[in-house]
Amino acid sequence: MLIERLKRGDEAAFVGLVEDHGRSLRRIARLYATDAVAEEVVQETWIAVIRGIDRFEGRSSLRTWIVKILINIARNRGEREGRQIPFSAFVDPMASPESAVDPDRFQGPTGRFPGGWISFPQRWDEQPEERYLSTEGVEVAHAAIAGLQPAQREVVTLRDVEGWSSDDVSEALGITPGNQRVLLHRGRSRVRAALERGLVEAGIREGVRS
Amino acid sequence: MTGVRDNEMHPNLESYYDSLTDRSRVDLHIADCPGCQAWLAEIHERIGRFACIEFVELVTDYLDDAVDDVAREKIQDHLRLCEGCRNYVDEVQATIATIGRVGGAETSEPTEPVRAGLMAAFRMWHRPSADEPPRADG
Repeated sequence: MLIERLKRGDEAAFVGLVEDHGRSLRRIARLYATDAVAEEVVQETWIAVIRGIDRFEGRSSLRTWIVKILINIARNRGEREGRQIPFSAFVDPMASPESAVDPDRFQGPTGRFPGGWISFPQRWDEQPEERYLSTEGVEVAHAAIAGLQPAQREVVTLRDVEGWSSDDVSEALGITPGNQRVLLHRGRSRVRAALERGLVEAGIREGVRS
Repeated sequence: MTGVRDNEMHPNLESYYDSLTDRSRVDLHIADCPGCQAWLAEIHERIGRFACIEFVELVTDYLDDAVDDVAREKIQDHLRLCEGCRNYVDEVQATIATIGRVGGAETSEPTEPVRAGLMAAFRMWHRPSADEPPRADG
């Protein structure tokens, strides 16, 4: 059991832990800080993990516990330095209603099917789309995530970059699963729209009139 | 046109609005088939129950399986009838897959002194107490 080995002071176990989680921690730390500061936040996190591992009770996964520590350190630091930092718990999901898709793409009340598509979206699993999404698309998605509101960026990063479950993300960020999903929905919708624009700009897809 | 209802004669009207459906041919059949006329009316009624513009706001809940049974049934019924929304789900899934590749760009590694510092901290904190026997794996 990894945790038992860590508590016993097994160095190989600690090396493995740092290798398994280091990259992910750096990506998450960059949500809150510049590259250089993020590196320090990760260091501080490992020191806190070393000091705290004896108190880890396994109520959440080790990964979630470590990332909670990291987010705490990053937020406190950002606060001290007076920077704007994400606090998803304070986001009112109803504050700024926005549409996942441009409302102009749907039929109006007098249409054949009110609220139905004017023209159907296209699948993205054809050759040119797939090629785009696995090359330039990745950069476009990266830039779109960087441009999200901080609370959306936190959730999209943990859910879709790191591939975490809804429960783990909610726990790490201290928000309800429902609030978490609202933020994810907004964030993903924006990234989808950015990819769609990218496909049009690359000449792979025709623009949808709107 | 793919699929039939219960025999080879009747077109599957659930795909009536799919882009590959030859509607003029289907309409010829419907004109002479009261059963299919009633079925198409039922399909229009089903489409009217739930609009695409509502679905696009539920797609995240749906993919997370965070909808109740009533909503799930409503969504699945809509998806059977609406190629546009099926494609939209595909776009969202392709978006998730693309975001999943973003992390692959991460290559930076801690410098050697940083790594050594961490190991020293770990050793210091977890130094076996004097009364423990020495361990071969330490």
